[in-house]
Amino acid sequence: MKCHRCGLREASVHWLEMNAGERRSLWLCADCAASREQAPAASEPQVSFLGQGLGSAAAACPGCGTTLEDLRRDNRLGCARCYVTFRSTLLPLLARFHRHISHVGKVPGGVQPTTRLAEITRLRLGLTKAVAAEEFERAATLRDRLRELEDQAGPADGSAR
Amino acid sequence: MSGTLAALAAVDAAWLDGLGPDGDIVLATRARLARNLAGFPFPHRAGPEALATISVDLGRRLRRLPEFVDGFSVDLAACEPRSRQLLREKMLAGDDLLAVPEHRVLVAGPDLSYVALLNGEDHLRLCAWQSGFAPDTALAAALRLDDQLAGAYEPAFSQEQGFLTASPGNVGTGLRLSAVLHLPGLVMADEIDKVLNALRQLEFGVRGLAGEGRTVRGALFRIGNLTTLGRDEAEIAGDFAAHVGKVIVHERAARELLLGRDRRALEDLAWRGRAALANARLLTTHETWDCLSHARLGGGLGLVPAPDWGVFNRLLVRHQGAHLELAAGLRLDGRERSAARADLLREYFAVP
Ligand SMILES: [Zn+2]
Ligand SMILES: [Zn+2]
Repeated sequence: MKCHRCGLREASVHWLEMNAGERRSLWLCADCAASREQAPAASEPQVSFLGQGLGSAAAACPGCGTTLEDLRRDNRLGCARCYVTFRSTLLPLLARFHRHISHVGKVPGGVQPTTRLAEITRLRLGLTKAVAAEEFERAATLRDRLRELEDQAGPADGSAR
Repeated sequence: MSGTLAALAAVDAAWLDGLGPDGDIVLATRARLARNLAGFPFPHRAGPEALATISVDLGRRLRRLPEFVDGFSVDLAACEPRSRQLLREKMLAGDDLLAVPEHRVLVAGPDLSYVALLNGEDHLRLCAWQSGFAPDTALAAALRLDDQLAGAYEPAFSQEQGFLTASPGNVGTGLRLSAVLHLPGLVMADEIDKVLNALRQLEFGVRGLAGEGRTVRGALFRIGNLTTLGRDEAEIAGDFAAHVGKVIVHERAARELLLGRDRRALEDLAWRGRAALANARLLTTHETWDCLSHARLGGGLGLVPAPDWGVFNRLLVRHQGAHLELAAGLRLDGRERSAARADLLREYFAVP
């Protein structure tokens, strides 16, 4: 389970607190629990913000089938496409956690991968697009080619030692 | 696989040699990069074929890199609990990583300076370790490893959010720098909470290396950056070097303060720690964390004779349960472990 406060790290501490006679139970990560011990008792608890302000309109990610419900539960995205699907939910989260919303730094090199793995990647991406565009004939061709490639996995060349 | 693990158990990581910068206080520094493959769902959403494809193809590719040649490859799904414990003791894996291990493979170089994990929370995590306090060198090594894999796969990357990761907490650079520090001065001077809370305010994660809950054993802490998006790798490393560097300065100051306040008490602590390590016939793990910490502190201040930092570092790993059992070649109960631990430590501390 993820921390109820930051929503990102694994929760390891069970937190019980009394607030105006009401008992509330929180699961926190070690970092949030530590900072909470310092915090004045009246400070406003911040519950998992992925769970905030989300309507019940359960749009599933076309890339992996993850729904807002899953996101709220796991605090984890299902695939790269989720970053597009749940963009409006994610941006405030990123702004809050990282204090930035866009990437600065290394970008992948210009080398075009030519491995079997890269070919599988291209087929998988093409398949997702074909399905989304309802081009079923094309999707079937891609799926066959993908199966063929994935079957050639070959022996898992064992342990290095 | 058992041959692999016995061999792995016997290897002391090169970065435990105690020869790096500020090696009296900082055991080691690690740079980690999180990467995923485009087109595949993240591991917790991916099917077994996808995970197998990644662990087989990328695993093969990794094992051919110079950093990993003649190294180790451990299939976590085939590991018994003790073997997983061994990886944790070596600081190569955390608890999170050891759960749900299907198609999860850990690849490590022969001296454990480079470690790659396939199908953990992300498809690929690359780690480079360095002895002592060396964030820039560790980062450069991790980036070089990442460069060598360009052309091996198509990374999940967007112009806006950078390298895409399963947890939004790692997105962007995917870079986490962390260091393992020995901070007995700050603990004893009762300044540790102040220093660690200041770090938390600055978006660093801090946790004890050993011990349960809020009890930290042996004054060993692991400190790492939490934010990965919006600053480039060099800036993250610069920030890490500046703030963790300050912790090292504070630790040195706290030691001097304690020395000025009550030198005799520090001498007593260090000699008692040293005496237990040199003479005890049964040592529990808790006691050992503390004795090693006190003897190391005393050695650093020149109060007691002490072996070099590399010996301390390697013993911190080797005195733990899975290492003792694999060295003995059999299962040990609690008392037998205490005996084996005391024998191990006497070897290094007993005065001839
Ligand atoms: Zn938290
Ligand atoms: Zn998705």
